[in-house]
Amino acid sequence: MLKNRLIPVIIVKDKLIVQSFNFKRFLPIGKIKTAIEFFVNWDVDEIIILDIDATKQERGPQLEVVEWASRECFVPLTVGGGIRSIENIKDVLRAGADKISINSYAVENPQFITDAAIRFGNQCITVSIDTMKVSNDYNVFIRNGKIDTGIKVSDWAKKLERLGAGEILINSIERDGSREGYDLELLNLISSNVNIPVVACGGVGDMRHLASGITEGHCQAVAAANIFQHTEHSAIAAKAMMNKLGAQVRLSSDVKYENFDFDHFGRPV
Amino acid sequence: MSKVVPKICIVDYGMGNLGSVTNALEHAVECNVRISNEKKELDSSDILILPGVGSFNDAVENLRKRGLFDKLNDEVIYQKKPLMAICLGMQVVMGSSEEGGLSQGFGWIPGSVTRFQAPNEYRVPHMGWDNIKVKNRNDLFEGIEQDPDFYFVHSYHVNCDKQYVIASCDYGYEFTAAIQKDNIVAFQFHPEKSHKNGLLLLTNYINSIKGQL
Repeated sequence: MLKNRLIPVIIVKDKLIVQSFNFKRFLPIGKIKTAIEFFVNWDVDEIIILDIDATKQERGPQLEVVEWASRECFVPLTVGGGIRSIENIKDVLRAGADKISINSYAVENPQFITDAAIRFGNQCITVSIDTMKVSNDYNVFIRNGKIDTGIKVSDWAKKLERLGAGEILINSIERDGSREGYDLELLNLISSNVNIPVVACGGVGDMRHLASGITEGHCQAVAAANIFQHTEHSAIAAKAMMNKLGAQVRLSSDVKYENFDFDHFGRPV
Repeated sequence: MSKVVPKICIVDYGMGNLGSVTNALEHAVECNVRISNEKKELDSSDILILPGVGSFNDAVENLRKRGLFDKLNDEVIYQKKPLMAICLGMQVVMGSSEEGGLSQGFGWIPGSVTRFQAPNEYRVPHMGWDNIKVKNRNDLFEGIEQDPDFYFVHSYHVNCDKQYVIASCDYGYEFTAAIQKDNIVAFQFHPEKSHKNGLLLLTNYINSIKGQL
């Protein structure tokens, strides 16, 4: 059976991992390579690295970061930030990425998704959507949540599937860094409108929130950033909790998941 | 075990996560890995790896453009050089694919490539970790747990005679996850991205070839 994926998102600013709060405040917390080594050994299913400076600084992806990040990454690695050409994708894949993620540029040049999917296969192209509710409807935002495109998120998701995206990473700007849990209404809106895999993101503050993205939001994978940076063995604890709450997870034979208990905040004890 | 350090050539035809494959091989076993599209590199290597993410047509066209199609045919069929194909690489090993119109592959193993036709609740691409059923527990799967999870990401899959199938997977229906014929072994999943199981599979594969060098 296909397992639900658990995906830490590593948000990178100035080559350091940062925690993000509503896309507005960023707290530097550590080195990328160390985090990846830990995550891989803690049985995460994939890793996403998002370079949030690239588009703003109008530069391409940082290949040397991808190169050393991928060195010990024996699970799929998705790289986003600054990808605006077929050449960029080729370089990033050659540097060690397995998939790429596009956000703002997908809105600015939708044809690029199709071109990239034809060239690299649609499974290689993740489109990341940042969205926020504007007068009762979710709109698509670009440029790190700064520009409201006025596009309805459900229309955009459906269009992305037609254009050839292989997967959608849906991120709620309001929930980002809030610790309130996923926006389940948003997740359902996306997952019910497309037939490609959907990855939930934004708002996880408690390991219990992860499973809800699958059991209630009907996504195929769950992602989070900040929470994984707080606790030792965070990803193993996350999987233990997901397993307990009915998600189908890949359990490593080396870890005794049943040994994890949780306090009333959902933290491993 | 002999002390031979095998020379591995990852065939660069402009498709695929070449960096990932190199990283995993170098981590898994002592070997000398090159990414190349040079015929002389293919000549001097002990093992060829045909990776690939992308579309079938582009893959075949790129191989032909670089003169690698005929070269690989010669290496694999006439020189009998060991070849491991991954994902799209596995698909081009077959005779034909319906992806992007009907296109011709190498035809080293008789069969075809078709798009997933699973019920609606099965999203395509088939993306993520899924457990395989090993049909033929040979050296390749030595030390790997029962029903092991491997990482898949694909919208098309191979159909071929069951005599070549060494592992299958279920996604709405049973499909071919790994095949083997003579000097060719091919995986639909990505061993280079399948953490411990994948690294062990790569180690087993290289070691099985090393014994023959």
